[in-house]
Amino acid sequence: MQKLQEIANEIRVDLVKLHNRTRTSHIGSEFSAIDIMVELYYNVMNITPENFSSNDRDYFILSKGHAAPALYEILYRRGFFGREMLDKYGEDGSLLAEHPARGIPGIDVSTGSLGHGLSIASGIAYSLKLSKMKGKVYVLLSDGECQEGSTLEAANFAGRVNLDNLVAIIDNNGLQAYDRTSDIQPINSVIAKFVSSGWSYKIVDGHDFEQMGREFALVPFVTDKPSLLVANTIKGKGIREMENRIEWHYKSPNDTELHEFIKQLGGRI
Amino acid sequence: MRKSFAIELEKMMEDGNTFLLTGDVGFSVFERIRERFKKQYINMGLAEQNMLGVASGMALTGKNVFVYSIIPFIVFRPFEQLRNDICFQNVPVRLVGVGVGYSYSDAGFTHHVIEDYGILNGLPNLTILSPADPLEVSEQMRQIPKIKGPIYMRLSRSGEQILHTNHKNLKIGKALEISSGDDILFLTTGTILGKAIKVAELLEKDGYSVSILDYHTIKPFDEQTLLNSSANKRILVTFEEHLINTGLYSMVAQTLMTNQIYVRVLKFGITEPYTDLSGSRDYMLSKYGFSDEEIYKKIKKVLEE
Repeated sequence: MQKLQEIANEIRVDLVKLHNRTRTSHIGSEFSAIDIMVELYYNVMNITPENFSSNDRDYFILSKGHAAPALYEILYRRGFFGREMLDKYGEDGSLLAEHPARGIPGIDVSTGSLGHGLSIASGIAYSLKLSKMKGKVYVLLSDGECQEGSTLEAANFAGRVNLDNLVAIIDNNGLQAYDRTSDIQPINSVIAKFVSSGWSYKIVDGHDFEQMGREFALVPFVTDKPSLLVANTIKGKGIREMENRIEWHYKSPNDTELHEFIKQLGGRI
Repeated sequence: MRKSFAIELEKMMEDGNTFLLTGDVGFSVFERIRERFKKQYINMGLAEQNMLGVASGMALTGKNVFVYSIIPFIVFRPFEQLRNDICFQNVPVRLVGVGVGYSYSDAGFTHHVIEDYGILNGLPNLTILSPADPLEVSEQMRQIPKIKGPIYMRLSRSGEQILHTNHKNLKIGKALEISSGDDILFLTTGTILGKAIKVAELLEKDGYSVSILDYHTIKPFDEQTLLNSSANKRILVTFEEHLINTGLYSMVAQTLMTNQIYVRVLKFGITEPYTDLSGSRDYMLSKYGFSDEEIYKKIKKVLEE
Protein backbone atom coordinates (compact mmCIF):
# COMPACT_ATOMS: atom_id res chain seq x y z
CA MET A 1 0.00 0.00 0.00
CA GLN A 2 1.04 3.52 -0.80
CA LYS A 3 2.41 5.32 2.22
CA LEU A 4 -0.19 7.44 4.02
CA GLN A 5 2.09 10.45 3.85
CA GLU A 6 2.21 10.18 0.06
CA ILE A 7 -1.53 9.79 -0.20
CA ALA A 8 -2.11 12.85 1.98
CA ASN A 9 0.35 14.80 -0.11
CA GLU A 10 -1.32 13.79 -3.33
CA ILE A 11 -4.64 14.93 -1.89
CA ARG A 12 -3.13 18.27 -0.85
CA VAL A 13 -1.94 18.79 -4.43
CA ASP A 14 -5.42 17.99 -5.72
CA LEU A 15 -7.00 20.36 -3.22
CA VAL A 16 -4.72 23.21 -4.25
CA LYS A 17 -5.92 22.68 -7.82
CA LEU A 18 -9.53 22.31 -6.77
CA HIS A 19 -9.54 25.54 -4.79
CA ASN A 20 -7.69 27.38 -7.53
CA ARG A 21 -10.29 26.20 -10.02
CA THR A 22 -13.38 26.83 -7.89
CA ARG A 23 -12.19 29.79 -5.78
CA THR A 24 -13.86 28.29 -2.73
CA SER A 25 -12.73 28.71 0.90
CA HIS A 26 -11.44 26.61 3.81
CA ILE A 27 -8.31 25.07 2.29
CA GLY A 28 -6.42 25.88 5.50
CA SER A 29 -8.92 23.89 7.58
CA GLU A 30 -8.69 21.00 5.15
CA PHE A 31 -4.90 20.90 5.36
CA SER A 32 -4.98 20.67 9.14
CA ALA A 33 -7.51 17.83 9.05
CA ILE A 34 -6.40 15.83 6.02
CA ASP A 35 -3.80 13.64 7.73
CA ILE A 36 -6.28 12.64 10.43
CA MET A 37 -8.86 11.65 7.84
CA VAL A 38 -6.34 9.74 5.70
CA GLU A 39 -5.22 7.83 8.79
CA LEU A 40 -8.83 7.00 9.66
CA TYR A 41 -9.97 5.95 6.19
CA TYR A 42 -6.83 4.04 5.18
CA ASN A 43 -5.68 2.56 8.45
CA VAL A 44 -8.36 2.60 11.14
CA MET A 45 -11.99 2.54 10.11
CA ASN A 46 -14.04 -0.22 8.57
CA ILE A 47 -16.14 1.78 6.08
CA THR A 48 -16.26 0.68 2.47
CA PRO A 49 -18.63 1.21 -0.45
CA GLU A 50 -19.62 -2.43 0.02
CA ASN A 51 -20.58 -2.28 3.70
CA PHE A 52 -21.90 1.29 3.69
CA SER A 53 -25.58 0.33 3.51
CA SER A 54 -25.30 -1.91 6.57
CA ASN A 55 -25.08 -0.91 10.25
CA ASP A 56 -22.37 -3.48 10.87
CA ARG A 57 -19.41 -1.17 10.29
CA ASP A 58 -17.77 2.00 11.61
CA TYR A 59 -19.19 5.49 11.15
CA PHE A 60 -17.47 8.79 10.41
CA ILE A 61 -18.97 12.22 10.91
CA LEU A 62 -17.19 15.33 9.73
CA SER A 63 -18.59 17.70 12.32
CA LYS A 64 -16.32 20.45 11.00
CA GLY A 65 -18.19 20.22 7.72
CA HIS A 66 -16.20 23.03 6.11
CA ALA A 67 -13.35 20.59 5.45
CA ALA A 68 -15.64 18.63 3.11
CA PRO A 69 -13.50 18.79 -0.06
CA ALA A 70 -10.75 16.89 1.76
CA LEU A 71 -13.27 14.21 2.64
CA TYR A 72 -14.57 14.12 -0.95
CA GLU A 73 -11.01 13.51 -2.16
CA ILE A 74 -10.73 10.56 0.19
CA LEU A 75 -14.17 9.12 -0.63
CA TYR A 76 -13.31 9.29 -4.32
CA ARG A 77 -10.02 7.47 -3.72
CA ARG A 78 -11.78 4.84 -1.60
CA GLY A 79 -14.20 4.11 -4.43
CA PHE A 80 -17.39 5.71 -3.12
CA PHE A 81 -17.81 7.74 -6.31
CA GLY A 82 -16.00 8.46 -9.55
CA ARG A 83 -13.60 11.17 -10.65
CA GLU A 84 -16.32 12.77 -12.73
CA MET A 85 -18.43 13.46 -9.66
CA LEU A 86 -15.46 14.89 -7.76
CA ASP A 87 -14.53 17.14 -10.66
CA LYS A 88 -18.01 18.61 -10.65
CA TYR A 89 -17.32 20.16 -7.23
CA GLY A 90 -18.05 23.88 -7.38
CA GLU A 91 -20.12 23.60 -10.54
CA ASP A 92 -23.83 24.19 -11.00
CA GLY A 93 -25.85 21.12 -10.15
CA SER A 94 -23.08 19.35 -8.24
CA LEU A 95 -24.09 17.11 -5.36
CA LEU A 96 -20.86 18.10 -3.63
CA ALA A 97 -21.27 21.38 -1.77
CA GLU A 98 -18.76 23.15 0.46
CA HIS A 99 -20.31 21.24 3.35
CA PRO A 100 -21.20 17.55 3.10
CA ALA A 101 -24.76 16.27 2.87
CA ARG A 102 -26.39 12.93 3.48
CA GLY A 103 -27.14 11.42 0.11
CA ILE A 104 -23.60 11.73 -1.20
CA PRO A 105 -22.15 8.22 -1.40
CA GLY A 106 -20.08 7.72 1.76
CA ILE A 107 -21.67 10.53 3.77
CA ASP A 108 -23.87 9.47 6.69
CA VAL A 109 -24.64 12.83 8.22
CA SER A 110 -25.17 16.33 6.84
CA THR A 111 -23.04 18.89 8.61
CA GLY A 112 -21.98 22.49 8.16
CA SER A 113 -23.41 24.15 11.21
CA LEU A 114 -20.91 23.61 14.00
CA GLY A 115 -21.90 21.90 17.23
CA HIS A 116 -24.22 19.28 15.74
CA GLY A 117 -21.84 16.41 15.00
CA LEU A 118 -21.06 15.15 18.48
CA SER A 119 -24.74 14.75 19.40
CA ILE A 120 -25.56 12.82 16.24
CA ALA A 121 -22.42 10.73 16.65
CA SER A 122 -23.48 9.99 20.24
CA GLY A 123 -26.94 8.97 19.04
CA ILE A 124 -25.43 6.60 16.48
CA ALA A 125 -22.94 5.17 18.99
CA TYR A 126 -25.70 4.69 21.55
CA SER A 127 -27.90 3.01 18.97
CA LEU A 128 -25.09 0.67 17.84
CA LYS A 129 -24.45 -0.36 21.44
CA LEU A 130 -28.14 -1.06 22.01
CA SER A 131 -28.11 -3.30 18.92
CA LYS A 132 -24.88 -4.96 20.09
CA MET A 133 -23.03 -3.85 16.97
CA LYS A 134 -19.25 -3.82 17.13
CA GLY A 135 -18.69 -0.70 15.02
CA LYS A 136 -17.15 2.49 16.35
CA VAL A 137 -18.21 6.04 15.64
CA TYR A 138 -15.49 8.57 14.77
CA VAL A 139 -16.35 12.25 14.77
CA LEU A 140 -13.96 15.00 13.75
CA LEU A 141 -14.54 18.30 15.55
CA SER A 142 -12.88 21.65 15.07
CA ASP A 143 -11.33 23.20 18.16
CA GLY A 144 -13.55 26.24 17.68
CA GLU A 145 -16.76 24.25 17.71
CA CYS A 146 -16.11 23.12 21.26
CA GLN A 147 -17.35 26.60 22.16
CA GLU A 148 -20.83 25.52 21.10
CA GLY A 149 -22.93 24.62 24.12
CA SER A 150 -24.43 21.70 22.24
CA THR A 151 -20.97 20.10 21.93
CA LEU A 152 -20.70 20.12 25.71
CA GLU A 153 -24.26 18.80 26.11
CA ALA A 154 -23.23 15.91 23.89
CA ALA A 155 -19.97 15.36 25.79
CA ASN A 156 -21.99 15.08 28.98
CA PHE A 157 -24.41 12.57 27.45
CA ALA A 158 -21.69 10.40 25.94
CA GLY A 159 -19.86 10.22 29.25
CA ARG A 160 -23.00 9.49 31.19
CA VAL A 161 -24.04 6.52 29.05
CA ASN A 162 -20.48 5.15 28.72
CA LEU A 163 -20.10 5.35 24.96
CA ASP A 164 -16.81 3.46 24.74
CA ASN A 165 -17.47 3.02 21.01
CA LEU A 166 -17.32 6.77 20.41
CA VAL A 167 -14.12 8.55 19.39
CA ALA A 168 -14.05 12.32 19.12
CA ILE A 169 -11.03 13.84 17.44
CA ILE A 170 -10.41 17.55 17.87
CA ASP A 171 -8.51 19.13 15.02
CA ASN A 172 -6.62 21.47 17.32
CA ASN A 173 -5.19 23.87 14.77
CA GLY A 174 -5.49 26.82 17.13
CA LEU A 175 -7.18 29.15 14.67
CA GLN A 176 -10.86 29.82 14.22
CA ALA A 177 -12.59 32.00 11.67
CA TYR A 178 -11.55 35.37 13.06
CA ASP A 179 -9.28 34.79 16.07
CA ARG A 180 -6.90 32.47 17.82
CA THR A 181 -8.91 29.76 19.53
CA SER A 182 -6.82 30.13 22.68
CA ASP A 183 -8.07 33.71 23.06
CA ILE A 184 -11.66 32.49 23.15
CA GLN A 185 -11.52 29.10 24.88
CA PRO A 186 -8.15 27.43 25.45
CA ILE A 187 -7.91 23.73 24.58
CA ASN A 188 -7.14 22.86 28.21
CA SER A 189 -10.52 24.21 29.18
CA VAL A 190 -12.13 21.97 26.55
CA ILE A 191 -10.20 18.91 27.69
CA ALA A 192 -11.14 19.59 31.32
CA LYS A 193 -14.82 19.75 30.40
CA PHE A 194 -14.69 16.45 28.49
CA VAL A 195 -12.74 14.73 31.23
CA SER A 196 -15.11 15.93 33.95
CA SER A 197 -17.97 14.61 31.81
CA GLY A 198 -16.48 11.13 31.93
CA TRP A 199 -14.18 10.97 28.91
CA SER A 200 -10.66 9.63 28.63
CA TYR A 201 -8.25 11.54 26.42
CA LYS A 202 -4.90 11.54 24.68
CA ILE A 203 -2.94 14.14 22.81
CA VAL A 204 -1.20 13.37 19.52
CA ASP A 205 0.53 15.10 16.69
CA GLY A 206 -2.24 15.21 14.08
CA HIS A 207 0.31 15.07 11.26
CA ASP A 208 2.19 12.02 12.58
CA PHE A 209 0.61 8.91 11.11
CA GLU A 210 2.56 6.51 13.25
CA GLN A 211 1.55 8.23 16.47
CA MET A 212 -2.08 8.49 15.44
CA GLY A 213 -2.15 4.85 14.39
CA ARG A 214 -0.77 3.79 17.77
CA GLU A 215 -3.40 5.75 19.70
CA PHE A 216 -6.37 4.80 17.54
CA ALA A 217 -5.44 1.15 18.11
CA LEU A 218 -5.88 1.69 21.87
CA VAL A 219 -9.49 2.90 21.67
CA PRO A 220 -11.26 2.93 24.07
CA PHE A 221 -8.43 4.52 26.00
CA VAL A 222 -10.18 3.59 29.25
CA THR A 223 -12.78 0.85 29.66
CA ASP A 224 -16.39 2.12 29.47
CA LYS A 225 -15.40 5.68 28.59
CA PRO A 226 -15.71 7.61 25.36
CA SER A 227 -12.33 8.57 23.90
CA LEU A 228 -11.14 12.06 23.06
CA LEU A 229 -8.11 12.42 20.83
CA VAL A 230 -6.74 15.94 20.77
CA ALA A 231 -4.81 16.13 17.53
CA ASN A 232 -2.40 19.04 17.52
CA THR A 233 -2.32 20.32 13.98
CA ILE A 234 -1.26 23.27 11.88
CA LYS A 235 -3.79 25.15 9.84
CA GLY A 236 -2.59 25.13 6.23
CA LYS A 237 -0.06 22.35 7.02
CA GLY A 238 2.33 21.68 4.15
CA ILE A 239 2.48 25.12 2.53
CA ARG A 240 4.83 27.68 4.13
CA GLU A 241 2.72 30.68 3.11
CA MET A 242 -0.44 29.08 4.44
CA GLU A 243 0.67 27.60 7.72
CA ASN A 244 -0.87 29.20 10.80
CA ARG A 245 -2.38 32.05 8.84
CA ILE A 246 -5.99 32.96 9.45
CA GLU A 247 -6.59 34.32 5.94
CA TRP A 248 -6.35 30.78 4.55
CA HIS A 249 -9.64 30.05 6.22
CA TYR A 250 -11.04 32.11 3.36
CA LYS A 251 -8.56 32.45 0.51
CA SER A 252 -8.07 30.21 -2.46
CA PRO A 253 -4.76 29.95 -4.34
CA ASN A 254 -4.43 32.26 -7.35
CA ASP A 255 -2.60 31.07 -10.46
CA THR A 256 0.87 32.09 -9.22
CA GLU A 257 0.25 30.45 -5.87
CA LEU A 258 -1.07 27.36 -7.62
CA HIS A 259 2.34 26.72 -9.21
CA GLU A 260 4.29 27.68 -6.12
CA PHE A 261 2.24 25.53 -3.74
CA ILE A 262 2.28 22.48 -5.96
CA LYS A 263 6.05 22.83 -6.30
CA GLN A 264 6.37 22.92 -2.51
CA LEU A 265 4.29 19.78 -2.27
CA GLY A 266 6.46 18.12 -4.90
CA GLY A 267 3.49 17.59 -7.17
CA ARG A 268 2.79 18.25 -10.82
CA ILE A 269 0.28 20.60 -12.42
CA MET B 1 -54.06 14.13 25.79
CA ARG B 2 -50.74 13.38 27.47
CA LYS B 3 -52.25 10.26 29.02
CA SER B 4 -53.57 9.05 25.65
CA PHE B 5 -50.15 9.64 24.17
CA ALA B 6 -48.44 7.72 26.98
CA ILE B 7 -50.88 4.78 26.73
CA GLU B 8 -50.37 4.38 22.98
CA LEU B 9 -46.63 4.87 23.28
CA GLU B 10 -46.39 2.20 25.95
CA LYS B 11 -48.03 -0.28 23.57
CA MET B 12 -45.65 0.73 20.80
CA MET B 13 -42.60 0.32 23.03
CA GLU B 14 -43.37 -3.36 23.40
CA ASP B 15 -41.63 -3.81 20.04
CA GLY B 16 -38.29 -3.23 21.78
CA ASN B 17 -37.20 -0.75 19.10
CA THR B 18 -39.23 2.30 20.14
CA PHE B 19 -37.51 4.80 22.41
CA LEU B 20 -38.66 7.77 24.45
CA LEU B 21 -36.26 10.65 25.08
CA THR B 22 -37.52 13.37 27.40
CA GLY B 23 -36.20 16.75 28.44
CA ASP B 24 -36.69 16.15 32.16
CA VAL B 25 -40.48 16.44 32.04
CA GLY B 26 -43.38 13.99 32.27
CA PHE B 27 -44.01 13.66 36.01
CA SER B 28 -47.23 11.63 36.54
CA VAL B 29 -47.33 10.73 32.82
CA PHE B 30 -44.44 8.36 32.14
CA GLU B 31 -44.09 6.41 35.39
CA ARG B 32 -45.30 3.14 33.85
CA ILE B 33 -43.05 3.53 30.81
CA ARG B 34 -40.06 4.33 33.00
CA GLU B 35 -40.72 1.25 35.05
CA ARG B 36 -41.46 -1.15 32.19
CA PHE B 37 -38.91 -0.06 29.60
CA LYS B 38 -35.80 0.94 31.50
CA LYS B 39 -33.58 0.67 28.43
CA GLN B 40 -35.94 2.42 26.05
CA TYR B 41 -36.70 5.43 28.21
CA ILE B 42 -34.03 8.04 28.81
CA ASN B 43 -34.25 11.38 30.55
CA MET B 44 -31.86 13.45 28.44
CA GLY B 45 -31.81 16.23 31.00
CA LEU B 46 -31.91 19.92 30.29
CA ALA B 47 -30.01 19.68 27.04
CA GLU B 48 -32.53 19.82 24.23
CA GLN B 49 -30.13 20.53 21.39
CA ASN B 50 -28.30 17.34 22.24
CA MET B 51 -31.59 15.49 22.70
CA LEU B 52 -32.61 16.20 19.11
CA GLY B 53 -29.14 15.42 17.77
CA VAL B 54 -29.04 12.10 19.60
CA ALA B 55 -32.56 11.32 18.38
CA SER B 56 -31.39 11.98 14.83
CA GLY B 57 -28.40 9.65 15.23
CA MET B 58 -30.56 6.90 16.71
CA ALA B 59 -33.18 7.23 13.97
CA LEU B 60 -30.46 7.20 11.29
CA THR B 61 -29.51 3.76 12.55
CA GLY B 62 -33.02 2.33 12.56
CA LYS B 63 -34.51 3.20 15.94
CA ASN B 64 -38.05 4.52 16.30
CA VAL B 65 -37.51 7.58 18.48
CA PHE B 66 -40.02 9.77 20.30
CA VAL B 67 -38.81 13.03 21.80
CA TYR B 68 -40.99 14.70 24.40
CA SER B 69 -40.92 18.02 26.19
CA ILE B 70 -42.81 21.26 26.64
CA ILE B 71 -43.11 22.76 23.16
CA PRO B 72 -40.78 25.78 23.42
CA PHE B 73 -37.96 23.52 24.55
CA ILE B 74 -38.17 21.07 21.66
CA VAL B 75 -39.15 23.51 18.93
CA PHE B 76 -37.73 26.95 19.63
CA ARG B 77 -34.57 26.15 21.62
CA PRO B 78 -33.15 23.46 19.32
CA PHE B 79 -34.65 24.75 16.09
CA GLU B 80 -31.49 24.28 14.05
CA GLN B 81 -31.12 20.66 15.16
CA LEU B 82 -34.72 20.12 14.10
CA ARG B 83 -34.03 21.78 10.75
CA ASN B 84 -30.65 20.26 9.88
CA ASP B 85 -30.41 16.99 11.75
CA ILE B 86 -34.01 15.82 11.55
CA CYS B 87 -36.01 17.50 8.77
CA PHE B 88 -33.32 18.08 6.16
CA GLN B 89 -32.00 14.56 6.65
CA ASN B 90 -35.58 13.27 6.66
CA VAL B 91 -35.16 10.90 9.58
CA PRO B 92 -38.19 9.42 11.38
CA VAL B 93 -37.91 11.26 14.70
CA ARG B 94 -41.27 11.86 16.36
CA LEU B 95 -41.38 15.07 18.39
CA VAL B 96 -44.23 15.35 20.81
CA GLY B 97 -44.69 18.68 22.52
CA VAL B 98 -47.07 19.70 25.24
CA GLY B 99 -48.52 23.15 25.80
CA VAL B 100 -50.24 24.46 22.67
CA GLY B 101 -51.52 28.02 22.75
CA TYR B 102 -52.18 29.18 26.28
CA SER B 103 -52.24 25.69 27.87
CA TYR B 104 -49.56 27.04 30.19
CA SER B 105 -51.36 30.37 30.37
CA ASP B 106 -50.24 31.50 33.81
CA ALA B 107 -46.67 30.31 33.29
CA GLY B 108 -45.98 33.45 31.30
CA PHE B 109 -44.73 34.29 27.83
CA THR B 110 -41.84 31.79 27.78
CA HIS B 111 -44.30 28.89 27.97
CA HIS B 112 -46.92 30.17 25.54
CA VAL B 113 -46.99 28.52 22.13
CA ILE B 114 -48.77 30.70 19.61
CA GLU B 115 -46.34 30.52 16.70
CA ASP B 116 -45.18 26.89 16.45
CA TYR B 117 -46.80 25.66 13.26
CA GLY B 118 -46.34 29.04 11.63
CA ILE B 119 -42.62 28.53 12.00
CA LEU B 120 -42.56 24.78 11.37
CA ASN B 121 -44.58 24.98 8.18
CA GLY B 122 -41.35 26.05 6.49
CA LEU B 123 -39.51 22.84 7.30
CA PRO B 124 -39.21 20.24 4.56
CA ASN B 125 -40.41 16.66 5.16
CA LEU B 126 -42.07 17.43 8.51
CA THR B 127 -45.61 16.22 9.23
CA ILE B 128 -47.39 18.47 11.74
CA LEU B 129 -50.18 16.95 13.82
CA SER B 130 -52.54 19.11 15.84
CA PRO B 131 -55.12 16.82 17.45
CA ALA B 132 -58.31 18.20 18.96
CA ASP B 133 -59.01 15.70 21.72
CA PRO B 134 -57.57 12.63 23.49
CA LEU B 135 -59.14 10.13 21.09
CA GLU B 136 -57.60 11.92 18.13
CA VAL B 137 -54.21 11.56 19.82
CA SER B 138 -54.75 7.81 20.17
CA GLU B 139 -55.86 7.46 16.57
CA GLN B 140 -52.93 9.49 15.26
CA MET B 141 -50.48 7.51 17.40
CA ARG B 142 -51.74 4.30 15.81
CA GLN B 143 -51.10 5.75 12.33
CA ILE B 144 -47.69 7.28 13.08
CA PRO B 145 -45.66 4.11 12.32
CA LYS B 146 -46.78 4.35 8.69
CA ILE B 147 -45.09 7.74 8.28
CA LYS B 148 -41.47 7.45 7.18
CA GLY B 149 -40.35 11.03 7.79
CA PRO B 150 -40.19 13.29 10.87
CA ILE B 151 -43.34 14.21 12.79
CA TYR B 152 -44.24 16.96 15.23
CA MET B 153 -47.34 16.38 17.34
CA ARG B 154 -48.62 19.30 19.44
CA LEU B 155 -50.62 18.54 22.55
CA SER B 156 -52.63 20.52 25.02
CA ARG B 157 -51.71 20.27 28.66
CA SER B 158 -54.51 18.47 30.52
CA GLY B 159 -58.24 18.15 31.12
CA GLU B 160 -59.22 17.91 27.43
CA GLN B 161 -62.74 16.70 26.67
CA ILE B 162 -63.69 14.23 23.96
CA LEU B 163 -65.24 16.50 21.36
CA HIS B 164 -66.85 14.30 18.74
CA THR B 165 -67.68 10.75 17.69
CA ASN B 166 -66.05 10.57 14.29
CA HIS B 167 -62.59 9.32 15.31
CA LYS B 168 -62.77 6.13 13.29
CA ASN B 169 -62.66 8.26 10.13
CA LEU B 170 -59.55 10.18 11.14
CA LYS B 171 -56.75 9.85 8.62
CA ILE B 172 -53.49 11.71 8.98
CA GLY B 173 -53.20 14.16 6.11
CA LYS B 174 -56.93 14.55 5.59
CA ALA B 175 -59.20 17.10 7.30
CA LEU B 176 -61.95 15.41 9.30
CA GLU B 177 -65.56 16.43 8.86
CA ILE B 178 -67.16 16.89 12.28
CA SER B 179 -70.50 18.12 10.99
CA SER B 180 -71.88 19.09 7.63
CA GLY B 181 -74.08 22.02 6.72
CA ASP B 182 -74.81 24.37 3.84
CA ASP B 183 -74.36 27.95 5.02
CA ILE B 184 -71.14 28.28 6.92
CA LEU B 185 -67.84 26.41 6.94
CA PHE B 186 -65.76 26.32 10.15
CA LEU B 187 -62.10 25.36 9.91
CA THR B 188 -60.32 24.59 13.14
CA THR B 189 -57.16 23.00 14.45
CA GLY B 190 -56.34 21.66 17.91
CA THR B 191 -58.50 21.75 21.02
CA ILE B 192 -60.16 24.99 19.94
CA LEU B 193 -62.53 22.69 18.04
CA GLY B 194 -64.54 22.62 21.30
CA LYS B 195 -65.32 26.33 20.95
CA ALA B 196 -66.18 25.97 17.28
CA ILE B 197 -68.71 23.25 18.08
CA LYS B 198 -70.39 25.44 20.73
CA VAL B 199 -70.66 28.39 18.37
CA ALA B 200 -72.02 26.12 15.65
CA GLU B 201 -74.73 24.97 18.03
CA LEU B 202 -75.77 28.58 18.71
CA LEU B 203 -75.90 29.33 15.01
CA GLU B 204 -77.91 26.17 14.32
CA LYS B 205 -80.50 27.42 16.81
CA ASP B 206 -80.73 30.59 14.74
CA GLY B 207 -81.46 28.51 11.67
CA TYR B 208 -78.03 28.38 10.00
CA SER B 209 -76.39 25.10 9.10
CA VAL B 210 -72.68 24.73 9.75
CA SER B 211 -69.98 22.46 8.36
CA ILE B 212 -66.97 21.90 10.60
CA LEU B 213 -63.63 20.70 9.29
CA ASP B 214 -61.06 19.60 11.85
CA TYR B 215 -57.50 20.13 10.64
CA HIS B 216 -55.87 17.62 12.96
CA THR B 217 -53.08 17.53 10.37
CA ILE B 218 -51.60 20.95 9.63
CA LYS B 219 -48.87 19.75 7.29
CA PRO B 220 -49.29 18.45 4.67
CA PHE B 221 -52.22 20.82 4.45
CA ASP B 222 -55.32 19.17 2.98
CA GLU B 223 -56.26 21.67 0.30
CA GLN B 224 -58.67 19.43 -1.54
CA THR B 225 -61.14 18.99 1.31
CA LEU B 226 -61.14 22.75 1.87
CA LEU B 227 -61.84 23.38 -1.80
CA ASN B 228 -64.60 20.78 -1.92
CA SER B 229 -66.24 22.03 1.26
CA SER B 230 -66.04 25.75 0.59
CA ALA B 231 -68.20 25.62 -2.52
CA ASN B 232 -71.43 27.60 -2.10
CA LYS B 233 -70.79 28.57 1.52
CA ARG B 234 -71.81 32.08 2.57
CA ILE B 235 -68.82 32.49 4.84
CA LEU B 236 -65.81 30.59 6.09
CA VAL B 237 -64.53 30.95 9.65
CA THR B 238 -61.10 29.89 10.91
CA PHE B 239 -60.40 29.06 14.56
CA GLU B 240 -56.97 28.65 16.04
CA GLU B 241 -55.12 29.16 19.30
CA HIS B 242 -52.16 30.49 17.30
CA LEU B 243 -51.17 33.67 15.55
CA ILE B 244 -53.54 34.36 12.68
CA ASN B 245 -50.67 35.65 10.61
CA THR B 246 -48.75 32.48 9.59
CA GLY B 247 -51.59 30.37 10.98
CA LEU B 248 -54.45 28.24 9.72
CA TYR B 249 -56.09 31.39 8.37
CA SER B 250 -53.04 32.11 6.22
CA MET B 251 -53.08 28.59 4.78
CA VAL B 252 -56.80 28.77 4.08
CA ALA B 253 -56.57 32.20 2.49
CA GLN B 254 -53.64 31.17 0.34
CA THR B 255 -55.40 28.04 -0.87
CA LEU B 256 -58.56 29.93 -1.74
CA MET B 257 -56.67 32.67 -3.52
CA THR B 258 -54.54 30.24 -5.52
CA ASN B 259 -57.67 28.46 -6.67
CA GLN B 260 -59.54 31.68 -7.42
CA ILE B 261 -62.27 31.08 -4.88
CA TYR B 262 -63.49 34.39 -3.56
CA VAL B 263 -65.41 33.98 -0.34
CA ARG B 264 -65.62 35.95 2.87
CA VAL B 265 -63.34 34.50 5.57
CA LEU B 266 -63.63 35.47 9.23
CA LYS B 267 -60.63 34.71 11.36
CA PHE B 268 -60.37 33.98 15.07
CA GLY B 269 -56.93 33.50 16.50
CA ILE B 270 -54.23 35.31 18.42
CA THR B 271 -53.47 38.80 17.24
CA GLU B 272 -51.00 40.02 19.82
CA PRO B 273 -47.84 37.96 20.04
CA TYR B 274 -46.37 39.48 23.19
CA THR B 275 -48.40 38.78 26.26
CA ASP B 276 -47.66 40.90 29.28
CA LEU B 277 -50.45 39.74 31.57
CA SER B 278 -51.07 36.42 33.26
CA GLY B 279 -54.29 34.50 33.83
CA SER B 280 -56.41 31.51 32.90
CA ARG B 281 -56.40 30.04 29.40
CA ASP B 282 -59.80 31.57 28.63
CA TYR B 283 -58.75 34.93 29.98
CA MET B 284 -55.60 34.95 27.86
CA LEU B 285 -57.53 33.90 24.77
CA SER B 286 -60.09 36.66 25.20
CA LYS B 287 -57.44 39.23 26.04
CA TYR B 288 -55.05 38.48 23.17
CA GLY B 289 -57.33 36.74 20.72
CA PHE B 290 -61.07 36.41 20.93
CA SER B 291 -63.85 35.70 23.42
CA ASP B 292 -66.65 33.17 22.99
CA GLU B 293 -69.34 35.86 22.82
CA GLU B 294 -67.34 37.79 20.27
CA ILE B 295 -67.21 34.87 17.85
CA TYR B 296 -70.95 34.37 17.79
CA LYS B 297 -71.72 38.09 17.54
CA LYS B 298 -69.23 38.73 14.75
CA ILE B 299 -70.44 35.81 12.67
CA LYS B 300 -74.08 36.77 13.20
CA LYS B 301 -73.36 40.33 12.16
CA VAL B 302 -71.77 39.24 8.90
CA LEU B 303 -74.60 36.82 8.17
CA GLU B 304 -77.17 39.54 8.69
CA GLU B 305 -75.40 42.12 6.51
